[in-house]
Formats: sequence, C-alpha cells, structure tokens
Amino acid sequence: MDTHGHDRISDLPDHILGRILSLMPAKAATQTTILSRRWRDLWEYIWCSPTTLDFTAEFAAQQTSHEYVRNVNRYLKLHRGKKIHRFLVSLAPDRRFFWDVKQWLEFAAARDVEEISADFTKAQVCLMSVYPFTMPTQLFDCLRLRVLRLRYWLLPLPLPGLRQTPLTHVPVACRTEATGIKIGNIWQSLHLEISAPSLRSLHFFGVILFPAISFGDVTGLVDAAICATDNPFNAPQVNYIRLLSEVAHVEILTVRSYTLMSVAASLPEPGQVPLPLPNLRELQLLMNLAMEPLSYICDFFKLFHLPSLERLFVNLPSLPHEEYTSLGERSSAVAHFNRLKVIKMHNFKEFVSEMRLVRFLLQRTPVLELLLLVVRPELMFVRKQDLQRRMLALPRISPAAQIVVCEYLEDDYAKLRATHEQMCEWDNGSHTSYYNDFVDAQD
Amino acid sequence: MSSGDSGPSSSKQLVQQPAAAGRSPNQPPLLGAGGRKVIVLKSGDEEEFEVDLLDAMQSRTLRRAIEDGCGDGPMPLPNLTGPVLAKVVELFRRHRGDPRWADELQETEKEGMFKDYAPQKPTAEVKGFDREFVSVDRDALFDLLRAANFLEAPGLLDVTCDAAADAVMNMTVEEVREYFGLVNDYTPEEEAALRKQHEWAFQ
Repeated sequence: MDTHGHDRISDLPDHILGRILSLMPAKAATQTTILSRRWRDLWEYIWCSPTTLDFTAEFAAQQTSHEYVRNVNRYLKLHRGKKIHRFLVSLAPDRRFFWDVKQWLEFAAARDVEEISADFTKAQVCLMSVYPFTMPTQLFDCLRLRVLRLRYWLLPLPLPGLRQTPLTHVPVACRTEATGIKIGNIWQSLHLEISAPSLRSLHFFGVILFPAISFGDVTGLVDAAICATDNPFNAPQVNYIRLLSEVAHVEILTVRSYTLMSVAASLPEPGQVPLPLPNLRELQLLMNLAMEPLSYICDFFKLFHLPSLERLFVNLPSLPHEEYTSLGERSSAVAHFNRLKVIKMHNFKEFVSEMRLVRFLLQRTPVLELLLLVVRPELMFVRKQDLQRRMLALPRISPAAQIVVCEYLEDDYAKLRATHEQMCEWDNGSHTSYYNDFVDAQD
Repeated sequence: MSSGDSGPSSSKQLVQQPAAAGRSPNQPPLLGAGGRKVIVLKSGDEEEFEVDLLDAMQSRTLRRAIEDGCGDGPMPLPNLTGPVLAKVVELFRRHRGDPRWADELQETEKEGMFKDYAPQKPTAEVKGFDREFVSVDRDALFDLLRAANFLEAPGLLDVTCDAAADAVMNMTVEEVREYFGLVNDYTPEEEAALRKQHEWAFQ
C-alpha cells in the first residue's frame, strides 16, 4: 500500500473511497479530483445514486448558464439510481436550455420524484424568455410528486425597466397527485392550469405578476389561500371572482387585501345572486393595506354567500392612525351568518371604522359565541379593561356572545388560531420563514 | 447445541474477553454466558476474542466463513490487529439489531437462528457509541476503515466512512493530501486542466 512511504488510504478499493466522497458536500468531493491520479475519477461516485439532487446554492452560485447546464447534464449521466426524492434546479429561464430542463424534469419524473423545485431566481430582465416552456407531460403523471415549487423571480426590486420587459405566456399545466401546492413570486406571465383531483391544499403567495390561473379538476381541494400581491405598478390583474368561483367548494379560505380590492372593484349588478361558497367553514381576511375594513368586507359578503361559515378571522392593518377612507355605507344587503360562532380580529385599535365593523358583525350573527379582539399594546391608547367594558356594552343579537379583549398571545385564546395563521405572519413581513416552514413541513 | 435456542433472551449480554486458550479445533462453538453460541476470532497478533455468533453475522466475510463451516475453531484474521479487532467486536455487540444490516440477516432467518434479533432503529445510545467509536486518531481510523472493508460489515463501514468524510470535508486540497498522505503526481498542466474541467467546485 505504501508506494510513497506514507499513503494511508489509497489501498482501499474505489467503492469505499467513493462512499466517503458521497458523504461529503458535492463541492468538496469534486475537488478531490486533483488530489492525485488515483483520485481523478473517484468523484463520479457521488453522482451514482444520491436521492437528493440539489443543483442550487453553491453549485449554481458561480457558473454561467452554459456551464451550469453542461455540468448538470454531465452529472445526471452518472446517476444509476432508480429513486430520487428531491430535485432542485436554479437557473435563468433561457430558451436555449429549455430542452435540457425538460430532459431533467423527465429524468426526475422517471425516478418517482417527490419534490421538484424549479427556481428561476437567477433570471435577469434581459434574459427573460420570450418563448414558452412546456412542462414535460411525464411530470403530471408522477404519482409520488408532493411538492412542486415554481419560482420565477426577478430580483432585485425595484425593477425600473420592468414595463419594457417582453413578457410572454409560459403555459404551465399542472396535473399532479400532489396534496399540496404553493406557488409564489411569479414575475412572468404564466398561464397556469391546475388540475389535481387529490389536491387538498393550495396557496398562492408573494408577488404574482399577470398570472392567468385557472383550475381544472380540483374536487379534493379543502383549503385555499389566495394571498398574492398583484403587480405593484398596475391595478389588480387577476380575476379573483372567477378564481374563487372555481374553488367554491373549499372549506377553509384565506384572502388578502388585493383580493378584496379586486372583488370590491366588480360589484354585482343589482339583482344578481351572490355566488355561494357552500362549504366554507373558516374564512381569514388579511387586510394589510390602509383600507376601510367594513366596506371591503361587506362587498365581499355581497358577492359571496357563506351559509356554513363558523369561524371568521380578520387581520386588521397595524397602522398607528386611522387612515381609512370610507367607501360609504354598504352593509345593507348582507345576509345574516347563521352559523358563525367565533370571530377573531387581530390588531384591533378601536378606530371608528373598526367599531363599525364590530357593530355590523354583532348585528348579523345570531349564534355568535365569542368575539375575540386581539390588541397590540404598542398600538393601544386606552386601558384594556376600559375597552373591554365599552365593547361589552355593544348591542348584539346573540345574547350568549362573549366579547373578550386580549393581548397578542396573551392567554388561552392564543390557541384559537386560523388554519392559515402562518399566512398572517407571512403577511406581516416574515415571508421567508413562512416559505421555509412550508418546505420543512413537506419533508 | 440444543440449549442455544432455548437460552435466555437477547438482553443477556456477552462479556468480551480473550477466549480461554487450548481448545481443540474440532470443538463445537462455545456456549457463551447466556447460553448463546459464540465463535472465536483470532487477530494477526494471536489475540483471541469470543464473539456472539449472531453478532459476527454483521460481517459478510465472517458469515461466509461460518456458513462454510469455519466457525468451529478460532477463526484467524491475520490482517486485523488485536486492538482493532477488540473495537470491532464491541461495535458488533452494540449494533445488535441494527437495521443497517438487519435486512441481510433476514435472508438467513429461515433457519430460525435469529428469531430474537428483532431489527430496531439505532438508539441514542448506539449513536453515542458510534461517535465515541470513531473518536480516534487518523491512523486508527484508517485501520478501522480497512477492517470494515475486509470484513464487509455495513454498519462498521457506515460509521467509519462517515467519520472520514467529516474529517476532510472542510479541508483544503493540500490539507486533504496531507491527511491521507497523498503525493500530487499530476503535472501542473494536468492539474490546471482538471481545475478548468470542474471549475464550479474550485471557485
């Protein structure tokens, strides 16, 4: 073994040295190629059968798109495994490489991949494709696929040249057995059609620019969070009314200011019947903008009929002063909520508009059991006890209704959480942790 | 050997110690403290170790030898030293029921020899033992790696390969060469070409 008098390891067979390398990060393992001639090709072992193929982060950091694509192709050729759990790529959406990307996705699909992340974070304005990229159909037949992350980002913000950017249609049809899909931060025109009968959970979040989203068969969908931020430069582009009507059977729904504004912008014709959301038990409204809550909420309730609603969560904007402009009286035509038992409002500040919302709800909830007003001490100018007393004096049609004022996470009421409460945290700015939580939760 | 199968449960642990010398080569396997079958392994420096027959099965090499009927006398393992073999035997005992080799064991289950060897996930204790096991100097680690290779013992191989990978993954190329005792036999041009070929890894 000792050709040089002190070689301590090279007498071990290739497969053992390869095994050591495959336990190291890819970068460090690849560097061993220059140790000595004996080690020149041993790095190939690391690509033989890994179940996580992560071509992001360090791997993607310094390479040009050409090098990136060449290396991924080279490494995938070495793969002999039959199974991949995770497949992660990150590159610019350049048409020249679409054929390769398609091959990769087919490669992953053929190995029963469970998680795919196609992250076009590296997109530059000038590189944005003007050609469609079609997902390989094999991907949609992937029974094990549980997580499909598509991220088309344009960074950094703001993007002064955005309007001149040639935006185009990137048709993505998504037919999967996935049980949860989250799609966020899509900075490209995207025609997304989701057809997945076993899909239970669907979240849109982040910035989604001009997406044309439609649903095929989503009969299994139980909870949906439609929390996208629209194009900050334009009026809302997404037709949320159509979008919501396509998922009208959900039981749990979270919507955000933009959705409410979009809905408010398209009030029904006189005499039009509200669209029923017949199964909806829980509704969370994230009002992150300076908007007058009652008007927008009333408009939402006029357009959508919620006969089964039991729990309502309202996340009011955390503004120090009342800055809402009222849209005028709109509450007259809203029906009663005959099953609504629990209402929880975050960031309650006793603003005039917020009081109007509370009064409105107390007058339309015959079986209300609990109205929980969560205050933030830094936004409060009165004592909690005084506020509680004033609130208790409000007229209500449910005699049994309790009204409780409490501080954030103060007591047992912290247990009363919306299913999509994470969305609320995300809404308050910690979207990264939300996104990471999502990724972790799927593992 | 009938008492072997009717012995107390596997919780009874065998104490490792050099075996009594002077047994005839044709003597049947010893019965250990728990009435279990044991075999004797003999290191290159003539040190003998009793090891539970079932524990020894973690090594494909030993299993083949046992199945070929070589387990009746002390089994010579000339390329393993006493200290290395002592450590390996201890690891086999601690890895009893380790799922990393339980699958293989199932194949030989037919004979009913292994019925008290229910596979189990490695406990925190086993993991702690594994960490301690490889807290040795460089040369001792390489000796253990060689033993793992020779014995074809998956659990031992996992533990030692992990340790070797941990040791070098944050080193520079020069440090890895030094650690493994390698001499760079590339010409500068060849090395430059390789760096170019794997550019992303050298940035």
